[in-house]
Amino acid sequence: MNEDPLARFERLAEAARRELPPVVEVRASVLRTLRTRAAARTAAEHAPWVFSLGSAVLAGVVLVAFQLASADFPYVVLAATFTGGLP
Amino acid sequence: MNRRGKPGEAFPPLAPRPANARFSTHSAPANAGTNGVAEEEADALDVTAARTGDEEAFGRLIARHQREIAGQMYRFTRDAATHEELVHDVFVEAFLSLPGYRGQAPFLWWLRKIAVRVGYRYWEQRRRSRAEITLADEEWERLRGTLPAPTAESELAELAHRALAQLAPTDRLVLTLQYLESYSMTEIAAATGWTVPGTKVRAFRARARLKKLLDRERT
Repeated sequence: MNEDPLARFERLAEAARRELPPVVEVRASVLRTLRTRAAARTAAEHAPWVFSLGSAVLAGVVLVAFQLASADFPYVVLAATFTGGLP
Repeated sequence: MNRRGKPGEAFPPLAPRPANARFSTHSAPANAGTNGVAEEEADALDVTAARTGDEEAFGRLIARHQREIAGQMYRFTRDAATHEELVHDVFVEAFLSLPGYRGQAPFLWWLRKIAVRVGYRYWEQRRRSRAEITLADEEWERLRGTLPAPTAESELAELAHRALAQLAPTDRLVLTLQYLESYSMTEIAAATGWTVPGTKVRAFRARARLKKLLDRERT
């Protein structure tokens, strides 16, 4: 009854050391996780390029819209271009 | 005070293996596999291939070492689902850290250090979320010897884990590695990044706290 608590604990620890852990199989799940991460990283790497292209297209659209809205836009030249120079 | 970190702090970066560590480059630890040099050579080849993105090579590393890592992570949790999750996390973290592996120590030893970090992080998360393991009165009685200890090995082991879970994560870690993984002080220091004298002090204090905990409950 007066046994040292640490000595008693060491006996428990010895049993824990002998205990066999459950078998796990993580290869498939790890590789799946790594593939998902790689895909996400690739998407993130391409994101700036896609954003730049989108920004350029949007800027072009806005510029054309402003040009069309302005009073001195050369509608005559535009019309001539599309009608083959006919009035 | 230990220059590398105080109890409860996150671990510093993985420390190099000490020269007098039991796990030398030519002899795997007793519980680390059976084929020693051949296994280390296979690991070296697979690590090189895995660094270039060879999934199959990393898959072979997982297959070769998951049993040892599963054994180690079983010291950190006994919940089956969490256990598998922790083993999974160790290998994911290992893959992401592969560029930092310099090959100075056997791959398994490096992997075990990552496992210690993953396990410790899990304990810290549990502590922060106050998911504590409490002991029933009967379990305390068994721990302090007023009731007979369980006879089944698994129950004895469970009781050991639950007793250690009453300690702070740093104390629990040093005693888990010492008592359940049979690590020497040098190996604990290498696995945690602490200095050897600092590890000895931590182990001494952790044992004293465990003893006090068990004694205090006696009254």
